[in-house]
Amino acid sequence: MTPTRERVAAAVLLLFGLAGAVEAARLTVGELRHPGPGFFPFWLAVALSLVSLVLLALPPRRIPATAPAPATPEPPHRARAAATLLAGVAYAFALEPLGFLATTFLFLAVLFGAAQPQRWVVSVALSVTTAVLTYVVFKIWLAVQLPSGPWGF
Amino acid sequence: MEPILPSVLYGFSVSLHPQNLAACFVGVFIGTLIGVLPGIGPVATMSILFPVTYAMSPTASIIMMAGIYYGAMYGGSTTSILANIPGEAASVVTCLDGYQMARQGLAGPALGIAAFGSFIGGTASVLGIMLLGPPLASVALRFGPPEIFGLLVLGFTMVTYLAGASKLKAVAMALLGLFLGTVGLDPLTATPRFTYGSITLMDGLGLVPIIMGLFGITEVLLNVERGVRQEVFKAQIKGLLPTRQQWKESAAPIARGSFLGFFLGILPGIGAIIPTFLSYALEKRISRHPERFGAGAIEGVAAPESANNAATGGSMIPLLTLGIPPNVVMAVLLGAFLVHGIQPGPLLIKEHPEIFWGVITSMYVGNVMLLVLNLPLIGLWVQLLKIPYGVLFPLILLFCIIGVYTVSTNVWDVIVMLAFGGLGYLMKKFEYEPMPLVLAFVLGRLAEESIRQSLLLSRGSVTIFLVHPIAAGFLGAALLVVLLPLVVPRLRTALQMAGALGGT
Repeated sequence: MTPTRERVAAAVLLLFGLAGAVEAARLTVGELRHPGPGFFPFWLAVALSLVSLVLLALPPRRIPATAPAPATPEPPHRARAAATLLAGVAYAFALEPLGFLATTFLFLAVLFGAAQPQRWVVSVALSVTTAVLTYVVFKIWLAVQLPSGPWGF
Repeated sequence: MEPILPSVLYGFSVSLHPQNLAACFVGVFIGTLIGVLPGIGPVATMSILFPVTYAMSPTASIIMMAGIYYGAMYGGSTTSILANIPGEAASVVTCLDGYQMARQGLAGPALGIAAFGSFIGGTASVLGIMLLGPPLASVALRFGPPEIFGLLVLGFTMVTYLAGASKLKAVAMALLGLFLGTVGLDPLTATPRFTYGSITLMDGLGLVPIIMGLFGITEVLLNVERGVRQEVFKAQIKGLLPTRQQWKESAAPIARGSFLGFFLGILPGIGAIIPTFLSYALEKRISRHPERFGAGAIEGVAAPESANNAATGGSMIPLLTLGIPPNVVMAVLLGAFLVHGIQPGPLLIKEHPEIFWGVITSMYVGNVMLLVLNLPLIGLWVQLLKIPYGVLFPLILLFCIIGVYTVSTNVWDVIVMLAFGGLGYLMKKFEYEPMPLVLAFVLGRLAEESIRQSLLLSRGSVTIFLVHPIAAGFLGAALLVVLLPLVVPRLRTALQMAGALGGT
C-alpha cells in the first residue's frame, strides 16, 4: 500500500463528506432542541470529512512486518474483474427489454465462454441448460416475477 | 422468571412441524454445501435466498436462514481438513492442525471430532440462548431512546475497534454507512433526503442490494481476479468416530471452546471468526505440549470448531432480544425478519413466541441433522470441491442478480448492488473494511431516531445520556473499550491480533 494510494482514497472520502455536508445543509438542520431532517446527515458528513482529513494528513501507517506477504504467484487479472462487473450491468439493462430467458442465456454464455474459451460447445450447452432450469425453478415453480421479452419468454 | 421447560416444549412443537423441519433441513444442507465451496459464504447465500422466503412463513424463513449460517460452519471444516482450504473464514484455524492430521492418515478422526465438537458447541449455545434470552429481553423492554442510543454507541465502538488494522478507516466506514442510511424519507418528518427525484431512492438504499453487493459481488470479483484453484487431498477417509483416547484429549477443549465462542459471539463485531483464533490460542497456551499444535493436535481442531458453532448461537442473542444485529450475518437475518414485517427485539418473545422458541429449538434440531447428515456425506462434499470456479462464479453472479431483482422487481436495485460490489472491491484494495459500513447502515435509522427523540425529550440537553443510568453505563463501557487497551498494553496486542484476523 503506497502512501499515494492511501491519500487518494482519503481524498475521495473527504470529497464525499464535504458534498454530503453541503447537500445536508440544504435540508433543515435545526438545532439541538429541535433537530430537523438534515441534523443527523449533516453532522455525520462533517464527522466523515474530519476523519478523512486526518487520514489524508496522517503519515502512512507502516504495515507490520509480521503481516503475511500476499501469496499471488501471478499478477491479478484486474481486467477480468472489471469485465465481470460490466457483464452484470449489461445484464441488468438487457433484462427488461430482452426478457429473462434470453438475457440469462447470453450472460452465461459470455461468462462461461470467457472462463473456458477452448470449449465453446460445452459453454453454450451449459448456458442453455442453466437458463432453462432457472427459468423453470424461479418463474414457473416459485412464480417469481421475472420479465418476459418480445418473444413471450 | 417464567419456567423455561414449557416454552422449550412449545418451541419443539413448532420446529418439528413438517414444514419447519423441511426448512431446517434445506437450510443446513445448503449451509453445508456453501460452507464446503470456497468463494461463496453464508452472507451471500442468505441474501440470494431472500426471494425464496417470501413464499414461506416467517418462522420457516428464519429457521432456514439460521440453518445456513451454522450449517456453513460445519461445511467449512471439511474443506479445511481435507484440502487445507478454509471453506469459510471461521474455519481458517482448523486448517492448521486438521490438515496435518489428514496428512498423517487421521482425516477420519479429524472430521469426526470437528463434527462432534460443532454439535456440542452448537447445542451448548442453544441452551445459553434459552437461559439468557428471556431475561435480557425483559430488561431491554424498559429501554427508551437514550438507552438505545447508548447501546448503539457501545456496539459501534466495538465493531470499529475490532474491524481491522486501521481504527480510523473503520470509523470512516461506519460514518459512511450511517450517512448512506439517511438516504430516503426522514423517519420522523417524512421529508425526502438525497433522493433527487428518484423513486428508487425514496425508499432508501436497500439493505439486500448493499449486503449482496459488498459481500457477494465483491467476493466474486476478487476471486475472478485471483483465479481460485482447488486441490483435494486424496486420502482414504476411515474411522470417523474418534477413539476413546481422542475423546479424552478433546473433551476439555470442546467445553472451553463452546464457552468462549458463545460469550464472545454475543458481543458486537465479533462474529464467528475471532473466537476460533482465541480458543486455539488458549488451548495452545494451556497445553502441556504446545509444540504439538500445528503438527496435528486434535485439540487444535476440536476447540475452534466448537467455538465457531457456539458463536453462531451467541450472536443470535442481541438480534432476538434487542433487535440489534451484532454482525453482518445477523444483519441479513434482520433483513429476513423485516421482509415479513416483523421487528425482532424485546417484544419478539411475547408477540411471536412461535418464532423465538421455534427458531431456537430448530437450531438444536438442525445440529442433530448436521451430525447425521455430515459424517456420511463427506464423500459427496469432497466431489463438490472439484467444480471449477469458472462454472461456479457466473452462477453465483446470476443468483445474486435474480435475488435482488425479485425483491423489488426494480432493475435499479440490481445496479445499486453492482455499484456496491464495485465499491467493496475498491474498499478491499484500499484496505477499508465493509463490516462497519454495513452494520452502521443497518442501525442508522434506529440511531437517528433514538438520538433525535432523546434530544426532543430533553429539550436539547445532551446530559440526557448521562442522567439515565443504563444509557450512561453503555457509554461508559464504550469509553472503556477505547481506553482500556491504551492502558493495558497486553490487551492492546490481543485486540490488534483479533482485529487483524477478524477483518476478513
